[in-house]
Amino acid sequence: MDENQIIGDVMKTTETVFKSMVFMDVKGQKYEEEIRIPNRHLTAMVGFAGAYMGLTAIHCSETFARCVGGSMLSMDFDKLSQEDVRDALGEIANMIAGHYKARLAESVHTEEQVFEQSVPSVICGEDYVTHAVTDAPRYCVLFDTDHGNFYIELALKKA
Amino acid sequence: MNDDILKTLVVHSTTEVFEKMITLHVRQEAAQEEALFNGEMHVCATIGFAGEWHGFLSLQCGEDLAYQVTSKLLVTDMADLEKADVWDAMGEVVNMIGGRFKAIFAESYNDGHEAFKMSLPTVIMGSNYSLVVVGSDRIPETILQADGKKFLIKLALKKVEA
Repeated sequence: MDENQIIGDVMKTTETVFKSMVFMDVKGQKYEEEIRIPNRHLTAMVGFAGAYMGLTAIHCSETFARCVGGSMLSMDFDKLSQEDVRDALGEIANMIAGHYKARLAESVHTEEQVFEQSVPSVICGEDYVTHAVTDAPRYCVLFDTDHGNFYIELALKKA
Repeated sequence: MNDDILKTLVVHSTTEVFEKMITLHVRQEAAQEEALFNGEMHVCATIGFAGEWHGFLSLQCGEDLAYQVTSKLLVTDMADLEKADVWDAMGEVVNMIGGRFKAIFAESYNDGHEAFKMSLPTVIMGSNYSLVVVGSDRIPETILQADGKKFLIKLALKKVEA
């Protein structure tokens, strides 16, 4: 699979999940810099393993995560608890991994399951950095929305 | 699966990896109420489990222990280490603990069959962050100590509903 196809699949997957779950139209662009988000921010990650292994992660500000949670749960974003926000972002990461799994299976022309997903985990804080420890290629897409930026990261390799 | 059984298996796996691969003796510590790394720079190495069972394992330790572990694993003076060495070494350590746990769990509780595969490790570094597993109110955790420095192991594991 070439890089452009993988990046394209990440964009389409994210657009689909955001449109159906967050009711938000988003458009992405390839991003090759280090992800830096000022102030309080969140990262929701889902690992996967099987014929392919890796992880998907969404990185965003807390304000954007509240916007996502509010839209998914049909609640005012300032009424959401920390737990609501974390669960919503974890669910988005999980759905992106799930949708990407289907696209990857199509790309490699298999009806077999290409991977299974682990449970989502969410990091929340002000001054942390994350690093996928792998020799697998890493792909990142920046999405610029009216409510702020977010990033989708994918590390993927054949097992 | 009983939390105490999981804790015992993960402590055993961690002790083996620390003692055999890093040559650091490990001792279990009593649980404590206050946060272990309150505002201090610390490292959290995580790995996901996916398959018939799914879950998550993390090892959190202070920056000093992370550098010490890296130094021993890479047989390199601490002063010569770069941050990237620490990322890689801590990812490798959680990968080894996960691998050992996977083998013991399969042998003891899954009739010798592979219960899950492991995803790629991720390492988080910072001084002010928290980590939660979605859908788990409380992740069983154990405080251990190596060379007088406390560290935390968290493990969540559930059988996937058919």
